[in-house]
Amino acid sequence: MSNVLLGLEQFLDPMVLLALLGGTLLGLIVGALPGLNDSIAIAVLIPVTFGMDPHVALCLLVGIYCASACGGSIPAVLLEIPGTASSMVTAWDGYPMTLKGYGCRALSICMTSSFFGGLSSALVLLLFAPVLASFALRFGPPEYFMLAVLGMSTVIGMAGKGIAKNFLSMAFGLWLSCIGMSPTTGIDRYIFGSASLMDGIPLIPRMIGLFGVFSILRMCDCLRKEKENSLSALSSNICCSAEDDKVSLPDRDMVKRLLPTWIRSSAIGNMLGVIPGAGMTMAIFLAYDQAKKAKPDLPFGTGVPEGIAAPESANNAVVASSMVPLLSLGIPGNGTSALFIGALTIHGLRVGPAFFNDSPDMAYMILIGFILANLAMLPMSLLFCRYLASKVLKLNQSVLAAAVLVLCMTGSFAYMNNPFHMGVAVAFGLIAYFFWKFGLPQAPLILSTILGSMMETNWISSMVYSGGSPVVFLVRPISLILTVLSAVFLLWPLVQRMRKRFASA
Amino acid sequence: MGKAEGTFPYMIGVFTLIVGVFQLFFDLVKKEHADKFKDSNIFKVIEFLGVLSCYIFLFKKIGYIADTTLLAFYAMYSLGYKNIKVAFPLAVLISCVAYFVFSVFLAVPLPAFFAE
Repeated sequence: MSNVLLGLEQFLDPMVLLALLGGTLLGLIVGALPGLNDSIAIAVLIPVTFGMDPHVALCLLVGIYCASACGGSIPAVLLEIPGTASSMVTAWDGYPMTLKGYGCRALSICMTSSFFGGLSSALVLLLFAPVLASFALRFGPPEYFMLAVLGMSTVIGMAGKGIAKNFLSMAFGLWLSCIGMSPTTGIDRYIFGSASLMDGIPLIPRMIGLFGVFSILRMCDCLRKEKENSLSALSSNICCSAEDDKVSLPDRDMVKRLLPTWIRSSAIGNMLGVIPGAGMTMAIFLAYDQAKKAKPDLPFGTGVPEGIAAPESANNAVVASSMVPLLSLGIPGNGTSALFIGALTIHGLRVGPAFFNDSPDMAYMILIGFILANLAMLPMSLLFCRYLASKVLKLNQSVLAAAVLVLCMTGSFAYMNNPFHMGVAVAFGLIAYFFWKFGLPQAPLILSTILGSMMETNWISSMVYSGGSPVVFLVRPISLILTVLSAVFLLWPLVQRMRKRFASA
Repeated sequence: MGKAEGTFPYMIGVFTLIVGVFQLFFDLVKKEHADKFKDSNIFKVIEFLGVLSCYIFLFKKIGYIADTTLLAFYAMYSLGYKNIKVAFPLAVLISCVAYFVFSVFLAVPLPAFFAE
């Protein structure tokens, strides 16, 4: 308790509090811009914070990390272009809700869900960090492999009737994940002589292409030839906002309706955030799938509030919980939390088991910083959306598309200052266009490209560990549970369909 | 190569892959899929892809601001905003704002005017 008070005491310094609030606002802005994300902002600001007081510097970074996942949902809802990869599932129901004229309501649900998920993970970090860290330590290569399989089976299981197309999309994504250097032998695969592909296909340009560039190509595709010369050639896809549509806290009925989704999705996000490498992507897909299974009668994908609440609370629940292995064990939970190691190192701090004893003021300041950042994020994000959303919805679609395209292309270049990555973005935009045309789902492609290398590395490690025996996935308890869950998620939709067929017969 | 143990299974695997690709191709060119392009402005899509390729090619040759201004202007004009007097200054503004955000604020080294 004394350590918690010690951490809280740091916020009596106005500069520390200002840095936290400033970081939160910056995170919202960075997350809302397609092409930018928290990793870029934190990576750029770490050297800038070198001259700052360590407390101020870390609060700034904590604020950015907390708010960027929330900010990424803004363009996902308004434009169907996720600002961050963790908001891609939010667009599935967020954008259709905007098309119905309830964009502000969708944003309200996003912000409130993000707040709930973020606050829950901050409290988990504060109260259960050591316990969860010991749980995360029990994950070895077989568990990681089955976790990736669980993520894939979730997405495949969401397929409904088009399961073959999902498998096809997944297979293509797994092949794409093989591009680059082999994780075990270092031999390059499918790089076609390009040194830029040695590290594989980078995530950010890929996401920019699949969402940003694709949305522009889709607009071109829908452009009617006879209207090409008219000012209103692009039919406005966004309907006028409904009169009762405004950005505000959800009413009591909506809160009551969404509370089970928030709790379930936050639990999923917290569990996956604690496991290093699992990531926000898996959390959002799993949470969305579970929300669908919990309420199968709702038409997900058409603007259902639960379809927005589930991924948003899950992705923000990963944020603070990904710091659990980092602060307790020195193992980063994801790429962004890995950057925190750099930030802490610059200021002479070492994470790991001794961190809480050696620097209790810093450790608990970070923990409480996540709580305060989430508390500040809710009103800030609602105000941000209230003044931003109305402006964006009034913009001419062509002008908005041009601005988004510029941000996307610049963001692709900014990833590693390589024009090649702009080409990657364009190529993936074209892939997404063909997927859209032929009705192939993108979700398995996206997830399998992210999880593919994790699957391969852990499969090889598991086979080395077990001497080539696949039984290793069944003899380890956590791996066995994940195997059973994967089978359930994959087969349950088939079982449901067969039951319906027998019932109707 | 022919004598190795795995040659025959490897050949079967390759054959299966080729058959799968053919199957996919014939499935995708079925009428129901061919009709998907009936109402599409596919030429506009190809044109846009060509412009994006030119943008990438010219990126380090004419510099970020000039190249991006042209891209933004083309995007607005081709997607329906035909008011050139407003579109061009808007394109310049968008490019300059993006340049400021990335180059000045985020310290990304965007190529200067006529960098190469």
